Amino acid sequence: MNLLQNLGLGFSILADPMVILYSLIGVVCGVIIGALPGLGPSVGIAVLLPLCYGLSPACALCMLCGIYYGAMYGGSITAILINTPGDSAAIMTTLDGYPLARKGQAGKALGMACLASVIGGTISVVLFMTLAPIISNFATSFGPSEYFALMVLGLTSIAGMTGKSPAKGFLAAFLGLFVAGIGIDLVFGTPKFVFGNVNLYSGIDFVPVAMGLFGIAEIICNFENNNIKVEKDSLKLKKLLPNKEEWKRTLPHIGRGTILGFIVGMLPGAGATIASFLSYDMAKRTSKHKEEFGTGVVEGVAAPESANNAASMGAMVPMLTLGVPGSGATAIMMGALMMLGISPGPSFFLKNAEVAWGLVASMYLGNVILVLIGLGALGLFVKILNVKTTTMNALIFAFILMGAFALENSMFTVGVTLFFGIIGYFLKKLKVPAAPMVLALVLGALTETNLRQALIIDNNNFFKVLTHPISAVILVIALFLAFGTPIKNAFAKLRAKKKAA
Amino acid sequence: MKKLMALLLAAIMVFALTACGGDTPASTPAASGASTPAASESTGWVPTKDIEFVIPFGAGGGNDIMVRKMVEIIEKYKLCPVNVVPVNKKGGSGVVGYTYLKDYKAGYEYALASTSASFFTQPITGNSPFSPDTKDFSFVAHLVKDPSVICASKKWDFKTIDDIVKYAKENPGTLKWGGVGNASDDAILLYTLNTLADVQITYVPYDDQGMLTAAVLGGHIDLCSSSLAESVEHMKNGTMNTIAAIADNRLPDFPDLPTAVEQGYQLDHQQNRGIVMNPGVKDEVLAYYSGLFQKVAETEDWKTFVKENAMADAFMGYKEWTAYAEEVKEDYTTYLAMVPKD
Repeated sequence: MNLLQNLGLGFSILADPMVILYSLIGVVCGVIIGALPGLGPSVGIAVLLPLCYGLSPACALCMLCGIYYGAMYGGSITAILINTPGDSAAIMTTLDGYPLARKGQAGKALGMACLASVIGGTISVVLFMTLAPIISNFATSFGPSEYFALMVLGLTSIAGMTGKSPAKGFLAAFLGLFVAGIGIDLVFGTPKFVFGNVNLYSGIDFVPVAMGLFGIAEIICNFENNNIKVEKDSLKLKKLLPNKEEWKRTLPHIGRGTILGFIVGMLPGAGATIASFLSYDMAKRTSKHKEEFGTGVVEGVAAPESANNAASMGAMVPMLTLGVPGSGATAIMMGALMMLGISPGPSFFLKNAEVAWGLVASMYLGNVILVLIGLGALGLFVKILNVKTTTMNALIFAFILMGAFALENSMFTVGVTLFFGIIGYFLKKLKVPAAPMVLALVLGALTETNLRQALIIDNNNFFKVLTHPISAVILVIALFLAFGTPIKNAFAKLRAKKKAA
Repeated sequence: MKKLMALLLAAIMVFALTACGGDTPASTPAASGASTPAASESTGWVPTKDIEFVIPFGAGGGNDIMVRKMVEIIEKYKLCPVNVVPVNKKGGSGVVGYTYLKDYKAGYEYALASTSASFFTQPITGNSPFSPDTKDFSFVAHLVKDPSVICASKKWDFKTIDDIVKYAKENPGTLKWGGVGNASDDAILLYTLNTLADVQITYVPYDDQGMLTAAVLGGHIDLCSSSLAESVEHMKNGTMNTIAAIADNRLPDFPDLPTAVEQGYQLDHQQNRGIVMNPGVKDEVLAYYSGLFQKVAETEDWKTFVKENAMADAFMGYKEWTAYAEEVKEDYTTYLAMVPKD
């Protein structure tokens, strides 16, 4: 009952039209910023932060959260329409979203992305509301050895995105792992592969790499072959909404993606990107139409999109209840809260009940707004495709480079983006998939850091690192995922032989 | 018509982006038109064009917030006849920023940069081409020190440093101390403690304060040192045990928490936040800037800011800071010699 009372308190705060207005502003800005390549939720929040001065905490928080989940959906727009993920959490959405768009079903892909985001978002608000005060300790149950196991699990999902040739997929993954190794060593301070260039000291961030591999490479290829056609009537609302069959196919994936995303999102450092990777992989493994993934199926859009929105909600749990931000975006949000005189921490829900429950209520509201904007403005988004390819390419190119510069205010990141654009072009020509490379880059650095911290903690006893209860369970799952199929096939063969004999 | 709409949409996106760019330093409101009451007192050098203030770290970090606060105060009280424009140049633990500063010729009068621990640690560990002394820099002013606290995971009953040392002596190699960075202030504190008390506590480097806090809360790491701002909520809520303050005096918000020195351990190493310029800047120029930042440090705004961010006021003019920097450099050299190489 207490919960309902609290929720009632939350919704009473929403009665203030200003709160609704700022929530709306947040979501709209979030969608736009999320759609721009290179600008993700953290940039969006940072940019709109000055607007929070002088607002009531409820307004400010609702706006910031609006940006956060707006951006999570916004990232999928460019991913689907022009194969350029608007932010890193949308990388997986390109794999099936873009092929769908090429098939003339851009509207359907966008509609699915929006609905999956909203369903994922709404379910996780319920999870957040009921569980946040209880499960805050979940995030702290993960130490370095547990993170290491989780990263290994993540790396096994590379197998799911190698496409037709596993060898090429693994080649890309190894390239990614190599790039992840660049920078100053955390433990000994030794520079690795930096060749005396100070810009490389802090390593290579995966955002410019992803923008290059996906965005720029796509533009170069666009010069050679063209163009997505959108059929006019594919933009009618009826066509945007998935039909019965598609609901049946996607709903289980959305459900699983949401829960997985929420859990992964709660772990500081893992976040929406990894959640979307894992969710796509899980969808592919559990689907009856495995082989169709990558050719443009709605499940391939729904799974990562539900997961990344759920993860953004999950990341709020440790930020608000422990004062531990799990991602760049939540870190900035936490700064904003402190600016408003609210310190997130163990007593957040008790001391700031009004703000806390107002926030929960605003999340429901935000998701409704997201649906309205997402479906309502789809026609507008899709119009991007009507722009002449040459004009569009020039514009996207400019956006990507500006986005790259804005990341660190430095020309060096622009260079990195261009460099990986050229690499991406050749990968494309050689039919080497780019997604494993980005995944390996994201996970590689985290794997290394956590393994080494775990080894220090367990006095260099590797066996001990592997046998922490949680890590052991995750590692067994990873083993099963990596070797399950070959073993099953081998058994099947044996059985077939026996039958034959 | 449709094409027009599409182009319009694209144009809106462009504007959205430029608006984002507006967040960058250039958007400082022009306060230059105002008269210059403050500067008129000094007889010597006065700036005649905009001053660049290089922040060698990303937006939103401690260094960034501090510099932007100073700039805000300078504007508010019209302490300077020209604009002071903050510029973020992050990367290489500050080295990218100092490289940017050094791209101006020696003696250049219109570029400042803020310092942090890595200003000293990076050169000493061989990861910066610049040495933190008068050979490569002029020292303008020293603003604040960052006190920190030693915290312990709740799974232990440690109350004082003595408790920790006692346990560490009985169980060598079992306690883990987490900190950010491998040759950082956190690492220095631990290695100094190891040497002072002749114990073997293991240092675990993290690259992110949030992850470290989570690890201490979850009991994966036993001890940590962190800035007061980062641990204050956990101290108040009792989710971590607080062992000692690393500060010159007891912390105003926690008068019951003894400093490490009071507990008999000479642990008082703190981060120094100051301002530097290129080498060879004339004394009268240094005197001007030093005076400017002294005025900043004397405002109520600054004092409130320092208090809110749990820092300790420690203003030094350019002569003092030049001498003190030499001391700090030697301290770091001694301390960092204790950090194991591999």
